[in-house]
Amino acid sequence: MTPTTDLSVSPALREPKKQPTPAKRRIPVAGLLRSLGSRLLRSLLLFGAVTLTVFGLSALIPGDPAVSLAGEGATPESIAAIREQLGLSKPWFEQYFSWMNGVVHGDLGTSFFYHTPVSGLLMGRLPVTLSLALFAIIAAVLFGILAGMLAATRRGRLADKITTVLSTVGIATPNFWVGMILLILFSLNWRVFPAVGYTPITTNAVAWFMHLVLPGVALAAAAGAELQRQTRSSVSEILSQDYIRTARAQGLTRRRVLWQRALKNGAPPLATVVGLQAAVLLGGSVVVEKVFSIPGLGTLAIDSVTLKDLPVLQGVVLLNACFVIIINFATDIIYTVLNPKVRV
Amino acid sequence: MSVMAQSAVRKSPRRVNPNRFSARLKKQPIAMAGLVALCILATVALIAPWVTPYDPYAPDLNAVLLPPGSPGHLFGTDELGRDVASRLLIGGRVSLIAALQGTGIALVVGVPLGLVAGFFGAWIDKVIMFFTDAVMSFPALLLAMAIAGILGPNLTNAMVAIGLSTAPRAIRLVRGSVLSIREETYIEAARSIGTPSYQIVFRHIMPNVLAPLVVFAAILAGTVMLIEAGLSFIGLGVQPPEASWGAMLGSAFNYISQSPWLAVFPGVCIAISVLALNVLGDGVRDSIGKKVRR
Repeated sequence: MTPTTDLSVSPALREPKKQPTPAKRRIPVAGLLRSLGSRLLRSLLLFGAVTLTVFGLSALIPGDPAVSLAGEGATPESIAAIREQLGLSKPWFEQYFSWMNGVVHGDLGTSFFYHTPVSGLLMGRLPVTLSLALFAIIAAVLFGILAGMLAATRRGRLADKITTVLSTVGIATPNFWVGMILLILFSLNWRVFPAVGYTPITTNAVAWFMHLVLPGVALAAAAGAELQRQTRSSVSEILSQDYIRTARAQGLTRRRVLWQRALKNGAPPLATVVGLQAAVLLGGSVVVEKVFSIPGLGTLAIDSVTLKDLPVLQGVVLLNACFVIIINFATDIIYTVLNPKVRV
Repeated sequence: MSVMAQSAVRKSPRRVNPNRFSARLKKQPIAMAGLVALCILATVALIAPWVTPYDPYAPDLNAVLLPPGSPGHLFGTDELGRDVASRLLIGGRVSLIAALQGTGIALVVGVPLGLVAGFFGAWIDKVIMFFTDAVMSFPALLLAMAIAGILGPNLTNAMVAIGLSTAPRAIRLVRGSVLSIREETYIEAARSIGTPSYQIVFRHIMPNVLAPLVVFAAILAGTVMLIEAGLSFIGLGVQPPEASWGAMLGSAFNYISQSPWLAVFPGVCIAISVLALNVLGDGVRDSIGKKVRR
């Protein structure tokens, strides 16, 4: 016996984000396309604002940027070379447009330190950070949602208390410190996992995985904890709704009610949290990469700060912001698809 | 009492009896534990310079990397023979002051912009929110790192960087609260008798934004502490010989295979402080009285 579809109409959920203005009383496809278009436009505008901000970072350099970037013991020639490369003698908007022209064509300038194109450096590091971030987000989603479901179905009982305490502590703990403790326990003491470094998946898939476990778990801890809390609150809210009781009364098993009704209707806010956490993960991976000496974008960013390598720093920051914009765009789309109320 | 009058009472936190607020808060043991922990931390931070058993900056090359429990050094010593317990006390002071600074900057920048965006709406709201979204497209830690790195590594620059990176969150929160209050009847009433805008904002809107803002500030202070720890860990926060918990983790990292315990205590201190701020923030939110959770 299956319940009619109107039993699964999603309940009034707390909307974590501002609702877009949906094209009302139109056929859904047109509405979807319209919101897709407006979101795409907004993302492009945001990209413009982000490039302006990244470009503006150079204005924060104290004193004469060319002298400051050339470092101690700089010759007048090297200062002049940097001034030439940055086009510092031109007005700022001309500098911006020529820089932007390069960005659009994939040219992010030349590293002051490595003397190679920044885009090449970024592309070399990108797979490393993406592997780590993907590993972490998958682990966070897996454990966060499972723990949240466990807590929601056993509210007030031991399993709920344990997972909730764990997630509260997880949110409050610096991810790089979790990494350090994991490093001490699992690589230095018990020698289960390699301590530092990275192996590309193409070289050795097992070594690739083993290198990712500890940093991945360290990164995933806070995101998983955040997901556990969100899952617990939205699933337990749904479980108290009348239509869930009706579905149970109609003879659906507990398991089916939980996984098909509750999780499905709780999914939209979860998608938002996953998107937010994916963005946070990218930032957080900077310090975790440093702890595990992983040659990703994070260590590149730290090195570029230490070496005063402005083009590389700008490149990493810009690339990360682009990822966040893309993730937010994708999250919005997934949210619209999952949540019929936004789509109407 | 009519339904409308009832909801007006419920929606205005100013009319909530402060005694009832503290009664609700007192009923939450976890939030109270957070409050007590914060009071202890604040007291320790205040008196730290006078109670450290050793000079936290004085190296002692005869007592390098002593394990915890060594005679005279409860938590051991670091790579220069400095007493870890003393450095934890002083480091806590630096970390807490840094969290206050960063949160303060975020609020000073974010609250007025949020008020303006929420109250005046129209194009100015659109402009402010667009730039808010733009700044929020950067991972906070990475943006703070770039700003702090370019300005030059020291704690003040790091806090300015963190404050600016987290200010958009304050803008969003304040704007959201203002938007929900703006349509209330008493605002309309004030407007209709000709109260000037600034008076409406300060006399009628601000007090109502304050309650969610306090909750937000507590949680934000925790976030700022975590970011500060990250920045200090990679050397962009406080500079040696000064100590913050994050910076202590940074130097402990270099001796992680010889003296792993050095990495334990500062991390525990950070986690306890952030935890205390978070549970207190949650407790205050649940005690304000709009919707007390079961």
